[in-house]
Amino acid sequence: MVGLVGILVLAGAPLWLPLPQQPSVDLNDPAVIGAGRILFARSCSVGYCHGAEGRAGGGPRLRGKPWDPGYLYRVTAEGIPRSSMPGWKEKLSQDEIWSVVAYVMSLSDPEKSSAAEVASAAAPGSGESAPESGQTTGLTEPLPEGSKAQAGLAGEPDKGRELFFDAADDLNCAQCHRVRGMGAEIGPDLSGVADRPARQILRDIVLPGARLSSRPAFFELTTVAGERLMVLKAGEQEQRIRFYDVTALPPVRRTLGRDQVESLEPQPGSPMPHAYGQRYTLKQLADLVSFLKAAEPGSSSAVTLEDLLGNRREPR
Amino acid sequence: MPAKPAWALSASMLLLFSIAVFPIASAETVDSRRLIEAAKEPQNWLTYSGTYDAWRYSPLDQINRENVKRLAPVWIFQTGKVDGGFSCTPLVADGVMYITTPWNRVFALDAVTGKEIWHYYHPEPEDFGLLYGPWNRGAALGHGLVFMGTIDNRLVALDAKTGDEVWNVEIENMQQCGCNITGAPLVVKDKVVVGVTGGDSAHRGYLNAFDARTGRRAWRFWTIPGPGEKGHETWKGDSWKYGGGATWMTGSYDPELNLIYWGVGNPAADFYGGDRTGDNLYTDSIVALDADSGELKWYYQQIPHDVWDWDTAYECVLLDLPVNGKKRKLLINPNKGGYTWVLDRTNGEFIGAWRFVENLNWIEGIDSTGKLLGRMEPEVGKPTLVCPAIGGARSWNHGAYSPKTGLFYNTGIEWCQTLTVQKEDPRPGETFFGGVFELKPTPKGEPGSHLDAVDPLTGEKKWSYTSKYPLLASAVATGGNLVFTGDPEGDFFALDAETGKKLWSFNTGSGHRGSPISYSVNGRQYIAVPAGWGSAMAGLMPQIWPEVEDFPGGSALIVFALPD
Repeated sequence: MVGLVGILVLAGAPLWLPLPQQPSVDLNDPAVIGAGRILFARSCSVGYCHGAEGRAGGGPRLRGKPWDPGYLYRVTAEGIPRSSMPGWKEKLSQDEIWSVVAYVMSLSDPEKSSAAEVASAAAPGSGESAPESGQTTGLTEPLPEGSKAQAGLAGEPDKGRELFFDAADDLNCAQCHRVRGMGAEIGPDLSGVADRPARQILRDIVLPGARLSSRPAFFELTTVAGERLMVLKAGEQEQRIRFYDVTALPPVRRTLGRDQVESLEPQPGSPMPHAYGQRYTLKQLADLVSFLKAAEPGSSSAVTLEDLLGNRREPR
Repeated sequence: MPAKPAWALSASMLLLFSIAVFPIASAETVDSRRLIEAAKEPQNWLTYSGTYDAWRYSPLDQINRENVKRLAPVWIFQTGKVDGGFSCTPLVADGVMYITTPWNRVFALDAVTGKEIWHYYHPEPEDFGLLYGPWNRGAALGHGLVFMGTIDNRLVALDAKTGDEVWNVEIENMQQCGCNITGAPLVVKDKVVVGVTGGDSAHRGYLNAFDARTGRRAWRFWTIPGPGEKGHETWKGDSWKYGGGATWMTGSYDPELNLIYWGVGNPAADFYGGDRTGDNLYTDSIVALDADSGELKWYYQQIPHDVWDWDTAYECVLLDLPVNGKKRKLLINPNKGGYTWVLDRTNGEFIGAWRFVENLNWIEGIDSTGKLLGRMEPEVGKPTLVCPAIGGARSWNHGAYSPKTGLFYNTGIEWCQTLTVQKEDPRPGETFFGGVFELKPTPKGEPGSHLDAVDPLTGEKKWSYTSKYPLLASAVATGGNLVFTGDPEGDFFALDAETGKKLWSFNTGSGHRGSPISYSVNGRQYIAVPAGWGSAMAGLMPQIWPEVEDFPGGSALIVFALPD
């Protein structure tokens, strides 16, 4: 993806920046600028960000400034760490990011900008939201195997995602687990399970203690005041102990002085709730596994009941 | 500084710890009784608005109209965090001041000298990327702890004496919900109540209360009713899942009624309402919740099916005043759209609504029952002039009420925008505006701003102070018959509470977006103001006033007193 490394001088300070590939689209093509304009209106000019046509909002003014396209591409794709500027590479395709760059470049020059406005005004559907990039998977895609074509038997990653993060469910997975950079870091990061067999993922959800590779730091903590907590150790100092209280969810990270701790008893098994086999339907479990198996947003990972329960050896 | 041993675990679990550098005199813990009776401690500023009724009034009168011209700075504290603007309300308890800054730094300072007692630096989220923040409006005190909501959507409790983290709970993954915390929490009895942003994101809003001692969630009030709940029918299809309804400011509390009052923000998408036909409860509503259970006792929706982004998020000022000769328990709530609503706070009954800006075209008026008259609904794809602009006829910065004058001191902004509504589909956790806007001056003249002294019941104006640029700092009224506030050019000034005459002014070197307070230690009265230009509104202003883009940022807490 990233080819050369070059030097750009920004705000007086030289920065080493990786240069992206050459633009994948013609940055001067009015149709590209027009497409960028629609994406910009939807994603960048919103509310308190860069303002209508880059006239500044909560974020900086982009209009009327001499931009380097490579810099714009990088900042748009990667975002700016520790700022309100998010990276868009997970949400927009490379071509789409380049079209946004083309549009912002066009704002340095009012004549080109008005040309783009004319072009996009003539395009059908302008003013409407742009078509979604990277169509979602699941049942909307043609399914290769006969068994998957049977309605209701295949998991839908998008629905699995909703379950994983469902804020209305106090036992949602994201309270403790992280996947692809989102969610809490209390339990294991699940980003790596995508290439595991579906059956194994299912087993780890419904029988969390069955396959513990190492003993988790799971304890019953009793305080001097008599309070009993189920905790995961999160750190220790000479005088203090830090832990996640998982007695009730959402988990709370707490810090207590050692003098406040009466006892700390190691617990067998997994701290993960054992209720998921009853809480979710088979279809929902298939949705969750499909979501976890999706290596990246939008990739096809539909899992069937046969993948979950059958004896057939599935390809990794 | 004493070195502290590192936590013996992996790097990802290591967190920044505060470092105590200065011992503090032991003082009585701020408990729920002291919070309820905060008005009896004029020397302190114990809650976000000074007292639970959101008056922002200090009875202190050592600094008064005669001597205010001698007011001079006595100490300055530089926080070192400039980006985002310094928008906090300082808290003061027993000679110790607590302030919060952008990126969630907390400082405990000696309120007499400004010397640091401890600091807490919250780990800065690498992949922040949210449009709400990085500013923070303040902390809350109670039970020996200091509570702060964070820009990565956590509520943290710190030991008030040392700044050490006692507990820390994640409300919801900030990227997933597209929300976080920028407002100050409210401690009510044994709980800490805190709202979230997210009104301009595809997100379903809520208000959470946590056990102050353990951090366990005590209750959650969803601002959008779910399936099977009353009010759910006011949302079309799945729109309730993404309908906004943020709780981003700080509510009020009436201990006698045991009710918490909280303003609920706009529905999302902000401007495109075609996919959420219906009234969209409880967006743009004041909700009254039982403080112990979070149960809804009553609600009043100011704007059914808002399509202009007029959140009902601002302060709920609690006043007991006669209405037609009969004393009533009232709630006064200025709305972003340019009207202030007056409600009976025992039951939510509509008493009246009064307008506080001239430039307002989204309705023609409000009738005696509270119904909006002559709504102007912008059409999809057609640029429409809407007044006021999205920044509001007033921004979140708070007004003040003085029981001495009986007047409410509140700002108004005269500005407009061209709004182009666009159909938009929700993407969970992503911004969800449904339109774009561009700020414009008013059709009939110069844009500008004013601080008005009004009758809180009727809006009748006693005096008005005008300003070239939008006034975006809160006001504080004092027993010395003064009103203090600041402007974007850095002037911090005192007005005569009865006449509006400017009596004193001091330029702090950066514009004002925060909330001044007054307190006293050992019999000496102080005025404290956070100075530091920034925030979303500051970012929008160059669309009308291009020179504002170059206004310098800052982040200094400046404290004034009369010379010894």
